[in-house]
Amino acid sequence: METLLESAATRSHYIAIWRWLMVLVIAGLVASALPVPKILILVLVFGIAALKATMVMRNYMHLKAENLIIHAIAIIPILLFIGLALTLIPDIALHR
Amino acid sequence: MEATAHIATRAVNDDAFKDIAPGRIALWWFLASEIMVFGGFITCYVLFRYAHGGWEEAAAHVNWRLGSLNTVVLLTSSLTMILAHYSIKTEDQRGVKTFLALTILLGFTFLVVKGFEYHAEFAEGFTPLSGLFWSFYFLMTGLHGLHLLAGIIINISLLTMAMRGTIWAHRDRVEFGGLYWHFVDVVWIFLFPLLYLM
Repeated sequence: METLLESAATRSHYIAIWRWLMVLVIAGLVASALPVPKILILVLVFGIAALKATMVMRNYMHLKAENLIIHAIAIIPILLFIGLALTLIPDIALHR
Repeated sequence: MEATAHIATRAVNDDAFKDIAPGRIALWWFLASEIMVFGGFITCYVLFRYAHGGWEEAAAHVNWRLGSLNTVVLLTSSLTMILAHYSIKTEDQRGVKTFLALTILLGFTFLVVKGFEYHAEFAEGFTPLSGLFWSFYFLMTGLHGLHLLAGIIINISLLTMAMRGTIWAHRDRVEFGGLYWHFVDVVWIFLFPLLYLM
């Protein structure tokens, strides 16, 4: 059983993560309206989205403390759909 | 038969599986299949959008303010869900009920806001048949909404168990329900910029 102090620290950690997520939501909205080239907006907006997703997965889904086998199960489908995208690029995206 | 039993025993004793509840491995396999489903749609959306172009005009009709509100609602629901999970670990009975109820409430809030969005879009004449952008939009947000609805049903069953006091014999279920809920949140984190900000 965790001590009261540890318990309060864990709860504060979850709330701190939520605050950062809120900051990143605002950052994403600001980035999408910046007067810069579209490719830069794309990189910024999706970089921020990836950061948010990583924070949720590591802290709320506890991936940072998970066993290697769970990481492998999560990464395999991501690699598969990256492969899917690379396979489809010549047929769909480059076939204009 | 004996060989099969031997392989099964080896798998269970294998270090890689040590300290992982079987239910958690099963749930992660399920989430992996879900990553493929949403990943496939997102990949197709990005490739088609790049290939065809001209979707900016259609995308300008979606309400980014309501989308942003829903993003805040869903991220907040992830916080309440993890606090429900934490309350189970610290045996805080009141906390489990409160945070599960809040998560359910926030889930319904998301669906209601999405309902208003759909209503406005249909009123403007945009349907899944109005073009490729709208087909992808309704398909991906609709599928995500159904997943959220499933998460709400799971959380209602967990809340019912917490009310009856039977949740303490099945503490893992709150963790599993939470994993699913956070996954639905992660999917939205990518759908929001794809459909609302680009």
